[in-house]
Amino acid sequence: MAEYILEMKDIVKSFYGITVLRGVNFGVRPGEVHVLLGENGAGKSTLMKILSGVYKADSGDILIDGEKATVRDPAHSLALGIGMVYQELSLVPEVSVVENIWLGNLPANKMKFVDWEAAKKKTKQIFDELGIDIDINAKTSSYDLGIQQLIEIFRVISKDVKIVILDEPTSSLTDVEVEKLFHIISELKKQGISFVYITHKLEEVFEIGDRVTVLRDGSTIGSTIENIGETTEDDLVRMMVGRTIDEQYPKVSSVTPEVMLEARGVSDGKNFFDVSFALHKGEVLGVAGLVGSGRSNLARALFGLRRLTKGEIIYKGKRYTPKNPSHAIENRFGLITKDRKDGLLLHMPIRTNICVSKKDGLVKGGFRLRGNENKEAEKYIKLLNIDASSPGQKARDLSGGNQQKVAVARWICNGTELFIMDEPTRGVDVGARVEVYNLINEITANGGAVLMISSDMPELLGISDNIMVMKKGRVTAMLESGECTQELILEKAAGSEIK
Amino acid sequence: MKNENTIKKQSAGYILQKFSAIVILLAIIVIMSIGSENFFSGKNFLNILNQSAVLGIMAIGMTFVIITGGIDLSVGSLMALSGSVMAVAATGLSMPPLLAVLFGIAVSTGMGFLNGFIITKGKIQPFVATLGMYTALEGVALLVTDGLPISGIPEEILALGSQSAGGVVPYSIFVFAAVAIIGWILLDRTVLGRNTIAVGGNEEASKTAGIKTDGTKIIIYALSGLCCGIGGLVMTGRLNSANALMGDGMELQAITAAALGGTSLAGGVGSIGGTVIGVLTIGVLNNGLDLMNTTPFWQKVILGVMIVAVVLLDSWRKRKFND
Repeated sequence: MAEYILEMKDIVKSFYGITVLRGVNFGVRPGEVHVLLGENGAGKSTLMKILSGVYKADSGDILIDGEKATVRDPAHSLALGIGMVYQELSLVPEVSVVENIWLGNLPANKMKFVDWEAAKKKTKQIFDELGIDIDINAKTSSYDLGIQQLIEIFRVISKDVKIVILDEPTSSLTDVEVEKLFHIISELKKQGISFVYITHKLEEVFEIGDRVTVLRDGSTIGSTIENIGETTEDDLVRMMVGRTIDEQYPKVSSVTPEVMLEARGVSDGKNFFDVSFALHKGEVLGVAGLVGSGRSNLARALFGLRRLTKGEIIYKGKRYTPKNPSHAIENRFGLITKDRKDGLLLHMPIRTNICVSKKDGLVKGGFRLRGNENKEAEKYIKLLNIDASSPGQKARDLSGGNQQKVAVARWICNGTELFIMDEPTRGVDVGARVEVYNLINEITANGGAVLMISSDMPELLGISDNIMVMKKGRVTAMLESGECTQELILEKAAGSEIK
Repeated sequence: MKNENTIKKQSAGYILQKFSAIVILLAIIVIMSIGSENFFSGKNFLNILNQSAVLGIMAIGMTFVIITGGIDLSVGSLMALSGSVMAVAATGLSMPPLLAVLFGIAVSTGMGFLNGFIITKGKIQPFVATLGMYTALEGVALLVTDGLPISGIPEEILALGSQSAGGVVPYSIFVFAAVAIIGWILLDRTVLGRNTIAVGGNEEASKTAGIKTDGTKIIIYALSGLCCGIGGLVMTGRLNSANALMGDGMELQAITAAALGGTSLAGGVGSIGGTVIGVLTIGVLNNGLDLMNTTPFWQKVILGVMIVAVVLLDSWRKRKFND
């Protein structure tokens, strides 16, 4: 038997001419938990998507049990014994637990009908072995997210896989659920199943990991760390970031006492309730929360993409009801979406993306003033240091960081005063991140205000003036970022479920 | 450095796409010239343009609709309806010719607006909504004309589709050219054109950018209706009469013309120049095969094969250059 059950050698992958993976190497031993560390945009997800057959590598080899394998598609990856558990759940909520676990793989009897007895028996067996107390006949939606995440993992395991890829499995779990998950992982390890464990939480590395590989900007940093005991969190951070943390968050505070926007008990009747906060001129108000905290929907509602059912908003001293995005834009709001494809017109030129929301000086009688558009675009390409060949280049051909700068440029050129940013550095690499932070500093220095939703704790702590914590649609804390810790935010975001 | 590669790829794809349409057209012209000695002459080219004018006018409107990511299956019925309304208004109702023409165009534009309204506000797929309209409006046109061809239409209405400038260049060609130029300016130079491309490529992102996506779509379907109205006027002149079924099958030809010209049926991509080339391709093909005494049956086979070939080319191009 080969030393590695899975080996990836010199994997290279690029999109639209931008190299995302530059020769990544790593190997997984049978029965180990191999932690894959790296910042957003380091290439972890791309690497795993290559392994699960979603993407094809440009070059490099995948070896399974020492033998070269070509992963054709996700189904083939599963047949090769690789199971992927995505961050987003893929369960069918309205059917039973047992049905979800066997979905697409239901055992059949002689008549080619579904053999429910066998499915139930096997499920019970797995659950009993691991000491899990879940009613397999209950509707899946009757369990909360944490349990559903476990069900998702069992579904993969039921397919007799040898390697399970877990992509940030604990991001929406409570401490109790995390403990349960770790217990199950160690039980399955004993059965010889290997795990590739992707996480952002360094403490988990020491708790569950056997070995660690660090990715940065698409390359493996150093070799795989064989003995986790010999490393420290600081070492790992240095490997991930490539520099010390101080430089990473260049915060210049410009907050003033003048209130720009005040929300008083706003709700959308579904995702967030009774939310009140004040956003001051020059302030960066961070918004922390877990999945389901209602943060993104709050942002969308402020921008007029959702209706408010209750509460009122005072904007620049006047009552303001967001009607639709064009109304919000007229009032100098700007939204940078979590998913760049929801905000940018990736199929159109940079010029259009920068100028699309501005009318002054760019539009006359319904006609576009193309000379002015080009000038405007060129100005911001220069000003924001956007790495583009011309204003006519399609936005989709830019890297994530440069796309994000285009998104910011659109609102700056439009004279936007209130920026709503949903995960502004998601998928943006380390260098470009600092540039985004510097842009935020400039916005606030010029009297703008930023509502910054972020799941990146250090970013929240490093860039915000104040942090609003939300949990299940309600504000649970208003903290000054200077005197606030990651633990405190987490406690407020997850609430009493944390010890 | 990293962008060079993609630009090269992109422009290569762009040229190939533009180029392939022209290459196909030129190739057909060469084949026809060899196949028939009557084909390659100024007179015949004017004839082809005259024959293509109505389809061309409708295909310009269709191009806008397809760029928004939609489809308009009702254009054939709309064109016939507009011509029928004009004819009946001018003959049966004795309306002044100009008023009758405006009335016909207004009905057609209004129905296009209704298409857009149903699609956006009713949240119905364009295919289904305009399929319904296609059937319903054909029925309306039959009701209006009582199922009979309307003749005895005043010369003022017929002139645009039947007469020629100086007895040489048919007026219909000027109408087609005018619609194409206005269409090109609209798509290329105006906010509406930009919003059309934006909405078709990514509706969600268009909303975030402050574009009124529903409004844009409604205007574009109304625009398609307007084109059908103008097409109905020219068609009535060419036929020297109007009937409820004179637009039969033209919706598919208009879609074919747009697709031949590189307009992506997925939305967000398309050009007026490409559509004009697509229209001419169909015109040249039909005319040349006629001159070569090919049966209409074979014409259908050849056009059908071309549609599939072009769509194949389109998807191949996408895989090759966009992925």
